[in-house]
Amino acid sequence: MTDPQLLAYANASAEALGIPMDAARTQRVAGYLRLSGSFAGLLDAVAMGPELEPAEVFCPAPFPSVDPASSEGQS
Amino acid sequence: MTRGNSWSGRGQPASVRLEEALARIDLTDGRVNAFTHLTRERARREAGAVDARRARGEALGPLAGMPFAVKNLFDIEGVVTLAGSKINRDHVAATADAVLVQRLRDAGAVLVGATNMDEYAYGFTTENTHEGPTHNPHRLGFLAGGSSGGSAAAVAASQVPLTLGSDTNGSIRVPASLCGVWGLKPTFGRLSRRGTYPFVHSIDHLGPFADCVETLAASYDVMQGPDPLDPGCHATRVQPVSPTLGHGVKGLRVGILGGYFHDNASAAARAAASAAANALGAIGGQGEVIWPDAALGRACAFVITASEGGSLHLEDLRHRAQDFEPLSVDRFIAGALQPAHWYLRAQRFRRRYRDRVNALFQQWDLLVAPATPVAAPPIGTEWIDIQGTRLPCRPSMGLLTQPISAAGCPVVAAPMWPDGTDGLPMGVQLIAAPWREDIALRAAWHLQQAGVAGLKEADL
Repeated sequence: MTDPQLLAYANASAEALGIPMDAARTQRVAGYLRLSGSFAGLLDAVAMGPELEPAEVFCPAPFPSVDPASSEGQS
Repeated sequence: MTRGNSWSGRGQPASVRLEEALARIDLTDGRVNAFTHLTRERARREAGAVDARRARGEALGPLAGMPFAVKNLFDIEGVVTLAGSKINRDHVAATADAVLVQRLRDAGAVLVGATNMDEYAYGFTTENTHEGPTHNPHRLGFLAGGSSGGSAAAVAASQVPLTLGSDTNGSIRVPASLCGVWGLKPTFGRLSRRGTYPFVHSIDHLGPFADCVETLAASYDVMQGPDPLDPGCHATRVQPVSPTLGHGVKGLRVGILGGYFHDNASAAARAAASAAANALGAIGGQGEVIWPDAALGRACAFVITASEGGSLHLEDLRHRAQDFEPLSVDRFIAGALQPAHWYLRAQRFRRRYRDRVNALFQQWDLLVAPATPVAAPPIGTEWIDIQGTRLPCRPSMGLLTQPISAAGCPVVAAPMWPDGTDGLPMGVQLIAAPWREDIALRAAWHLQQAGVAGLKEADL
């Protein structure tokens, strides 16, 4: 993104999230976004197949140590 | 090395040790600014109880009577958990101790207070505008490192022998390095984080600082244990390390990290790492071992940290931005504004990264690298020079620690004193595979016994 595009992005996204920013803050925030964007660009350049899942994957509950179906009805 | 340690002081009455600690804090903390709160009454109660149990001949815990302090993001019953902030001063006091504080107390340790930190842990320098900066006990006016700077400085200043901190991107290892104390960042998911104020749920770790390896290991052992109420606690049983400290390093495949870890280190940092690696019997010459995707690992940690940190504080960023730390508020806002794609890409990369790092540990048992690029700069430093490259000081202090915590590996920061730092310390990372804290601590103990690493008295 060019500097004006970055400033426009910072302003628009801050407005969408309800974060008030004056012009000086917008400049500083855009600078940090540029830095983050440079790191994100490095990661974008890494080939990742669609099968690569995020490091943290939701688990609905611990997998049971005993099969509940096989233990039902047993005394 | 030139300083006594807490392990050899076991057996002294708890009340004596406590009063010595409080007197030292009273004498030195006006200059160091390690503490933000003291729990004198509680500490005297707890020390008295330990001494009473000792007098009755009851069995005592392994840390009986040891004074300790915690970074002020740990809950302390009856105390407001500041997490380095002004905003949290409006919160109600904690109704219970954090899990790790409870476990240390159960082992007989005596809590004396809470320590200074970067606001909400977003920093490597403990230049806290609300509380004032923590000073390096080895040179007042210089950085203590952060974000757990108060905890490292308290040990370096001989105020207490044991403290707790948190480490997301290096917040235990950086201040341990700059202050010259032992620090342990355990495997991600090893210790319960319940009862602490979070920064980045995906990467937050907790761990101890200590004045000797025995205390570091003993405190770590008593803090272990599963916690089903902390979704980030993956350990299902205790794996004590203290019994194996003296097993030595013979047979361990020890390597020194080159590439990224060489290029981003000063000459003194390289020398410290080389000295540690040689003392541990490292195989091959410097630069032999390349950590996979180190720069990408740092990028991954940077993006995840910014997004999660910004999102966590979004409500206050909307309404109370003026009450945030001026040094970090704009970074928090920028993090909140990051596109979701950046964050998700980083999380997907992290899985691949973890697999590559774990594969490296099929070939190595222990890897050695500097903990910080340089020794402590003066407080307020904006830029540092690393091998002719000018870099912003505050984020760059974590250059060498971020790639390791992104992979979740356990690391001991060993205090070294290389030439070329004008007498300031410089830490070395002893890095092991996930869940192998025992190996990192065996290596640490070996360096301590060999006189290669250890604390020095701070002239305060």
